[in-house]
Amino acid sequence: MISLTRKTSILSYVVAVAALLGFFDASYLALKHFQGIAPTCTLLEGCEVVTTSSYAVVFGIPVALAGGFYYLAVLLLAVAFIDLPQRWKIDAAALMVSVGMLATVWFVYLQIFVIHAFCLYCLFSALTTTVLFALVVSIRRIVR
Amino acid sequence: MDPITHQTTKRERREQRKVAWREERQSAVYQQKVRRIGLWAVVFVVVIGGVWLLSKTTSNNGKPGAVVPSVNEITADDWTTGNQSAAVTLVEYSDFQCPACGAYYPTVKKVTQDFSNTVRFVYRNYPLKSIHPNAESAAWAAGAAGRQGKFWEMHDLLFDRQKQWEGSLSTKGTFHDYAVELGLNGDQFDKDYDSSVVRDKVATDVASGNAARIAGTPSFFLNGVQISPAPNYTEFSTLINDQLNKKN
Repeated sequence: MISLTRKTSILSYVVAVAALLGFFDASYLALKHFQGIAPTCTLLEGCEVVTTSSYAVVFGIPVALAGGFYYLAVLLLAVAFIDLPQRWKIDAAALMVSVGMLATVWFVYLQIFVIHAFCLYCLFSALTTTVLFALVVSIRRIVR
Repeated sequence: MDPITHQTTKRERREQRKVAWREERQSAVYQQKVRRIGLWAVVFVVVIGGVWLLSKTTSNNGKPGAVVPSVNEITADDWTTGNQSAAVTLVEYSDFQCPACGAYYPTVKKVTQDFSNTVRFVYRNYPLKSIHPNAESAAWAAGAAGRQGKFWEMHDLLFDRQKQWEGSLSTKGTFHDYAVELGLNGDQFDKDYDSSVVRDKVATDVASGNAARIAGTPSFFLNGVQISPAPNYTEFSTLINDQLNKKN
């Protein structure tokens, strides 16, 4: 157990909120996926193209569902850390958001260079994971 | 010594217990406990509640028990134009606020005019509420106009002026003005706009679109089979003519 400075404590809350937003975003896409309805407007938005592309499912698992569990795990770790600050929690979170960051880079690459379409919800997820990555890494550096 | 002063009365004992309880409540340990339980309770409620709300908004399946017409089952409630007894029917699932639907609109309009003797056209609402906040109220406006016999006039007006109302925060007044402009009774329009008849029809349309598993708007079905023409006249007319030739 470690004691948190005011700054670290605030940053942890921001991590929890960002993870929650990411969780809702991914859940929304996962729900849409299982209902078989793409949130679209065919000419101007690429959501249908992206969320129904072959890249939306990896090893039989919809990317949105995996993303939902990932954000939920980060959220629970962040709350657990706020509740009882322990180093292993921030280490675990750092590991997760690093994997999340790599996945994000891959998905953004796919959207730009392979699918040639953008999905607003996916871009929002890229934003939340980038924010999470930056925050978790800086918290980890502070508590080291 | 007077023994009575050393005996605590029932009342005094009760007072002591109260004080002890109050002290415990103010103690740091107790407050910490409340804070921790509160934190996890909030997280739990927000996560579960959020997912529940999401699943509610994403599955707009209309009223439970309402009959959901399939794509090739046209009911008396449907907004139709063209030849009512035609052998060929074109169903469009559309969203008045969707830019793609607006882009298809001039083509579809010309097609409905040119094939009005041989084809029946059906317009069904599929407002994508999550990205088009005014789409559903526009659908209600068209339905309300339809109650006074001017569905298609309102349909055209909504697409013609999509850019003017898409960003509006209070569309009801705007749509009321459109209705009056079309020569409709404004009061009656307002009543119909709020009516469950008009709103249920939109919900039923959405449910039928979900049942047809449409991927977006606009979606077109020619005699029950989905077609994906580009928004140009030739593609539409070729597909329709093929179907007409098959039927003759």
